[in-house]
Amino acid sequence: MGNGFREFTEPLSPGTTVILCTDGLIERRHESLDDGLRRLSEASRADLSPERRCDQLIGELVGEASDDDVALLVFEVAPEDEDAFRLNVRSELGQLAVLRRRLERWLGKRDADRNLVYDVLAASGEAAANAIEHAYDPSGGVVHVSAEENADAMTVTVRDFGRWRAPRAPHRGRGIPLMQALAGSVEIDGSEHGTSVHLRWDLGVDRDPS
Amino acid sequence: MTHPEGLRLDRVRETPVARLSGEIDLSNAAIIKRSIAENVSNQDLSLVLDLSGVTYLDSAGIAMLFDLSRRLIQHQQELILVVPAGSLLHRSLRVSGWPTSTSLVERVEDAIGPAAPGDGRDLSGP
Repeated sequence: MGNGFREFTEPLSPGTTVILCTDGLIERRHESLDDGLRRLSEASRADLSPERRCDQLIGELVGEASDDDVALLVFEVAPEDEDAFRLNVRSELGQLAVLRRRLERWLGKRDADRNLVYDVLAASGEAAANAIEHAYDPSGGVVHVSAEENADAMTVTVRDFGRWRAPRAPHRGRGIPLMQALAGSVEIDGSEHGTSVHLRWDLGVDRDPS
Repeated sequence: MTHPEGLRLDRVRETPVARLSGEIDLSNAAIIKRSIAENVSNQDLSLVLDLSGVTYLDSAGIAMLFDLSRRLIQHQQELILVVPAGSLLHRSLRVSGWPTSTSLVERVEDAIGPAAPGDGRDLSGP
């Protein structure tokens, strides 16, 4: 604390590989840290699984001459799955449109009719707006949205990692009833670790056409 | 004066008409409401809000409509919404309790009435 370390949140898109390491991996005597980082980024170009990348990086960068401990953690964000939708957005109002575009694209690949598409976008949007407005303090956080479709149902889960707070803005009084009217069912799980809103639409049932 | 994106304000035979297009959500509802409200004068009998081009309306947008309506009613004025048949907005409005019987029409002309003979030009100009 107090020596320049900063906490931050960075949404990662599907397929991204993250490499976390101690300076032992890249630091060499008589060489700047930037040169070491450059070596690491060059060595990371090959397309490898996280496990093989760990071996490769240790092999290429550490060699025998290391006199420092080395810790290396490599992980990959699961690549985009055709059947499942996953998206992390920052808790900012402008992200509501980003969520709608991405979810719309995913729904577009399925056989959903336009009423269902609208209902899913609108109910998910209400849940996300709630999380963006109420879950975090002003420094913000991340809202995670996932969706799945199987033979019986379409489900969407909107999750935040903040603390539930009763809605304050007057329009929020309309948000939850609207969400309940648009989704087949709504379940809200709140805990000190965050809130999850589960939305579900049974497929193959007659939908209100209006 | 510039207006938020997706909002066009004009007058049809002296009645203020606000035409909205695109998506209305928590990120732009407040600024749109302010711009619309500023365009209505005390002399106007009603405000026509054309939602024909709106593709998405969330609860913040619906709250905006209720708030505009309430403010107008306080001045014995009326808010008339234009929402075409088949619009996906109907569903959200209905479940939110928007009074469909009186204040919802399908076209701007339905709200303002047909042009009288010789009334084809905009007479509000200089």
